Amino acid sequence: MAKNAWPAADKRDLIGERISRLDGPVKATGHAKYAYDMNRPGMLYVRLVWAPYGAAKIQSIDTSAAKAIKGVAGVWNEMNEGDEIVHAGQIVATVAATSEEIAQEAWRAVKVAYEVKQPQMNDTVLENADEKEQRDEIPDAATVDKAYADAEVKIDGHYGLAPITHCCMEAHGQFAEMKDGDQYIWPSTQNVSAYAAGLTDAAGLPASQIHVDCQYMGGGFGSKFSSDQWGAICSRISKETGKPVKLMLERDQELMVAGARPSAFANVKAGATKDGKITVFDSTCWGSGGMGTSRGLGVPYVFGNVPNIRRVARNVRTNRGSQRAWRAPGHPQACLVTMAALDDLAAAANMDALEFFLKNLDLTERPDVYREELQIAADMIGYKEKAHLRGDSGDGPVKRGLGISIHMWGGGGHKSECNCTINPDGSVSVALGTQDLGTGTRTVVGIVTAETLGLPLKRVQVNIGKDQYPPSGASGGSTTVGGVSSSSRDAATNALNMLLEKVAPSLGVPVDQLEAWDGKIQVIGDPSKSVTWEKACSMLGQIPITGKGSKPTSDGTELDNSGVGGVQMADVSVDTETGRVTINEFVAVQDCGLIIDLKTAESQVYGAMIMGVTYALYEEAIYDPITGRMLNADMEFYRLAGLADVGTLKVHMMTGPGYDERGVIGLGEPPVISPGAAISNAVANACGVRVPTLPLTPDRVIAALEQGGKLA
Amino acid sequence: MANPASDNLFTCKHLRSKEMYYQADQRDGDQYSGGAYWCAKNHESFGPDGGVVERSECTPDRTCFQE
Amino acid sequence: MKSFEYAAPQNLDDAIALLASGEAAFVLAGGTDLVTSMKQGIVSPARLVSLKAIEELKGVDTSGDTVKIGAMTSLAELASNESVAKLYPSIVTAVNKIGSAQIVNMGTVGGDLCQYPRCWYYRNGFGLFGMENGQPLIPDGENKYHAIFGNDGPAKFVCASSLGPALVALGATVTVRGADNQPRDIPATEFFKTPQSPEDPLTAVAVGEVVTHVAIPAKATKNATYEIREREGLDWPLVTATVVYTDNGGKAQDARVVLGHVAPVPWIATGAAAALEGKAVDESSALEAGAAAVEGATPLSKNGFKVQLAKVAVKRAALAAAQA
Ligand SMILES: Cc1cc2nc3c(=O)[nH]c(=O)nc-3n(C[C@H](O)[C@H](O)[C@H](O)COP(=O)(O)OP(=O)(O)OC[C@H]3O[C@@H](n4cnc5c(N)ncnc54)[C@H](O)[C@@H]3O)c2cc1C
Ligand code: SF4
Repeated sequence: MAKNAWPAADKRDLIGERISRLDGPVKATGHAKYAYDMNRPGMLYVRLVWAPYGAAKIQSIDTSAAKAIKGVAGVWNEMNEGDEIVHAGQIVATVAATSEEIAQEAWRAVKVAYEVKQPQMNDTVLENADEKEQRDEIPDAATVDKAYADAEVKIDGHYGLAPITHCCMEAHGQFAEMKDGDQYIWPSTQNVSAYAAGLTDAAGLPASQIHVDCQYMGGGFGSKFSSDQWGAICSRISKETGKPVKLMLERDQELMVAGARPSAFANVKAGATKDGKITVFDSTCWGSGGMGTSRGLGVPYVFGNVPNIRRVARNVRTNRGSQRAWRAPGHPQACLVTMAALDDLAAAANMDALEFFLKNLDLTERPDVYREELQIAADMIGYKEKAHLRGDSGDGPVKRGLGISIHMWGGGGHKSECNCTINPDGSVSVALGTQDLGTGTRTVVGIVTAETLGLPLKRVQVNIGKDQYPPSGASGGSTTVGGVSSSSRDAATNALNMLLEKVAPSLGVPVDQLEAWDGKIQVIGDPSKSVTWEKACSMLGQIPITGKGSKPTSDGTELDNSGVGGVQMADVSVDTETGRVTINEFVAVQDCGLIIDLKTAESQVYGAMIMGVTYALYEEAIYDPITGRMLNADMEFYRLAGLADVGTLKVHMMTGPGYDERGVIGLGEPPVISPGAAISNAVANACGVRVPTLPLTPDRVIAALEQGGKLA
Repeated sequence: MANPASDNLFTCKHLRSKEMYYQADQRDGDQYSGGAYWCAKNHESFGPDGGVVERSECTPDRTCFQE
Repeated sequence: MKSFEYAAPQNLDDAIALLASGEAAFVLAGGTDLVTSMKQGIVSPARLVSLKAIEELKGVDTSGDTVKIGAMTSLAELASNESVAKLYPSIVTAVNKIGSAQIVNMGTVGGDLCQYPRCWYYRNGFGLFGMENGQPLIPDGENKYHAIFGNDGPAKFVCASSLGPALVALGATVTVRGADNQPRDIPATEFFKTPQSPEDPLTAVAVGEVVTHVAIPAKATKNATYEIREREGLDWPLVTATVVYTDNGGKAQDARVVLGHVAPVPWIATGAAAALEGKAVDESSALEAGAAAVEGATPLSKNGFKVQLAKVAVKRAALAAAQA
């Protein structure tokens, strides 16, 4: 009997290797079809009329001119007279037309009158916080106050992160089509299996009659779990008109309403002994996720065992688009606030930051992992040669510095079901309703299945992205790889065991002495007693077999795990005359248990580092304080890092004994947590002052340098 | 971090968080959600009544609450 | 975008005739700005007259005592021309820093000079002056990329052209032709205009006129441009400075300093030029020029940092010119 447990290192042919993604070629050649690429004869194009104000009351909506335009299939009010607008970008009306151009013309022709109000846009000051929204954790105020008063070294710092958006390359939206009374949907989603359930009211159909297909998607980062209001509008119009309908958000609306990471600001009083042992962390945090809440931050982050902790948390409601989970919700913010404050504390103690972090690792949950990772990262970046105390960075206007940050994440596998089918002709397919966000999920499922069956990767047909397949969880919380690798291992193992039952008599050994290896079914370790895979499969007769697998696995074997740590170090230069920050080198060391595909794992970390450089240096949603409009709802002034901006990136994945046997753990979120903190710390180390708020744009850097008397 | 919000079992049927789509025990995920709830009625982080969407807030005393 | 007529005349006369239909007829060059502006709904031409097929508007002519650059010369071609590279490093930097092969291959010299401001209030439909219900939004709004000079009137945007400051500093002349078919020379110093009312033009090009070429004195000078941008990837400058002077036995003569992206027009920094005039261009005179350049700056609520940037840009441009 083949077992679910992951094979030992010497029995892994594919797992842990650097393997290119299965869908690389179709993506690189443009053959991969995204929701955006769907077209059908007679289809309708939809444009959404959105509110241009942060706070307003709708006085009237006049759709008559739009309706009169030839080619307009319909105009619908999505809001009504008297309704309140609470953020720019809210959908007021919808137009559908036979061409994109007509839809746009009709879109312009819809006239909405507003009574404009003064929006609340400022989240940077604590005074704007909603007093009702309290999440304070004050164990014993007097003790914390005393610990701070008694601390030999102390800081009183302010830190922050501006709001950013998800800015997915592929905008949100979907294509819908009616056929034989059912509705077929091609969405951009990170939640294939549960997507249809969100459309039942709009489509007037049960979920069983709504069929979802998402083979490729251009990023979600936590913003594409729900079918959303626009998905519902698209389904409704398709049902109502009987026509195929395309509704993808325009870039401006995408940036305003389709996902935002809440801002975060904090005042921190932290203290340590003079030899650098942290004794107290006292924080007041606030932030804004639009008109909803922004949960307080889990600070001190990673160093959760600091003896004296107080958290005061407040929420600021602003007239901005609603927040959504953004890759590791809350963590990048908590990380910046904590690591920057601790780095300031190290500087106040006149200590090397690495020494300071090492000294306090006992205040974390995984000191041994962090110690090992810190040492590797230090070697990779040349810490010993480059390190200097804060601000001690030589003459000339351009200063160089190093910064450190550490982070953590859970990442246990989600629920998942999977079918693995072996056909009598030897072909193999594996099916599950998961999705590949571009991370390599399709490839991972293929690798696990092929490894389990002793086949080359190309022999496995991977079927994902449709809700007709066994349900799999949404891709969030870094749970996908743990979930799908468990269920596909389980399914392939069960299928293999069914096959082994058929083959065992011909090899004259009990089933438990057989294995699938190198394209054969053989007696364990003895290729001379074997049959080829094709021969083995022909013994199935005329009927294919399907092994069912799941997470949790059918025999209870735990193939996944939870809890990872990572270290990142940045080497930056700061031009102290212009406030420009450039990245020289940026290294990441990350553990995530047993790695299925080293190449896509590393890619995941590289991608996160680039995203991290972006939010550390450039990215920020900027709103007009009077109208509440997002002013940079485009990709011109909503700046993302380009290749020339990211410096030299280096990634090291922790593998081997101590890591592999933990099982598979997710990686989507952890590596994007530390970049802001590592880069901010490097900037402080270089120029001698803390630039409190991300992104570290020239205006902010110059202001901090000026305040610190360091402007060249 | 301890979170009184996760103790509320009587949540509205429209309450959503990403954890609900991948976690067996949905309440476990609250420590990670960062407050990123949404209301399935309007897909916003505030409800049809204008109030915030939160496990601790989406309770039967809201006018929009549905079991 | 509204439907429009499209014409692709083969010669300049036809182009001018096709433009005579009035304000609703627009010149289309590379389209990198115009098409975006149409999509944003800030202009709605009834007719586009493409100059793409007109050979006489293309290319760089170095035969005379000026270097004559056709308006339809692409930015890429301009920067890779040998004579231009030798005589005007300040122009090469200005083009190369745009940093996008697509933009510099499609974008033209005439288009760069005539492009609309990038002010985000303007591009979001609040008009050139960023107004909402008669209220100016920019003074108390998000003005970190706006003007720090020449901003006492309603115009707070900055001129978007990267070529503009270099051409002004190099003493270039822009030639246009309109319905009368007579070439009209406009000194680059008078080409850009600061509008006082929303209807005022942004350049000296009249309705129905076409920019035909730009001429720069083919004189050996020391010149350089220094730009400060937020990122390396495709972007806009925060501030630029071009410094031009003639080297007279190690001393600067006829010095000119022009700042870009600090005012609604390329901003001539007379004081900075005076600080260099007659001196060796070195750390100390460059520093003085930088300080002089920002005298009288009137930053808005959020763009004080651009004063520092302008100071540094002038200093670095002067030092770069000395090395050129
Ligand atoms: C993201 C981004 C970054 C950029 N960064 C920079 C930068 O750093 N610096 C910079 O300078 N530019 C920058 N550009 C702008 C780019 O250089 C201009 O769009 C380009 O130069 C315009 O040239 P075009 O030929 O495409 O003009 P078009 O878009 O065809 O025309 C622009 C305008 O000029 C008019 N026009 C064009 N030619 C003539 C003529 N011969 N006579 C009369 N009127 C004419 C048109 O009617 C139109 O109003 C950037 C653009 C983008 C999108
Ligand atoms: S209580 Fe109201 S706001 Fe909360 S989920 Fe239910 S309907 Fe939405």
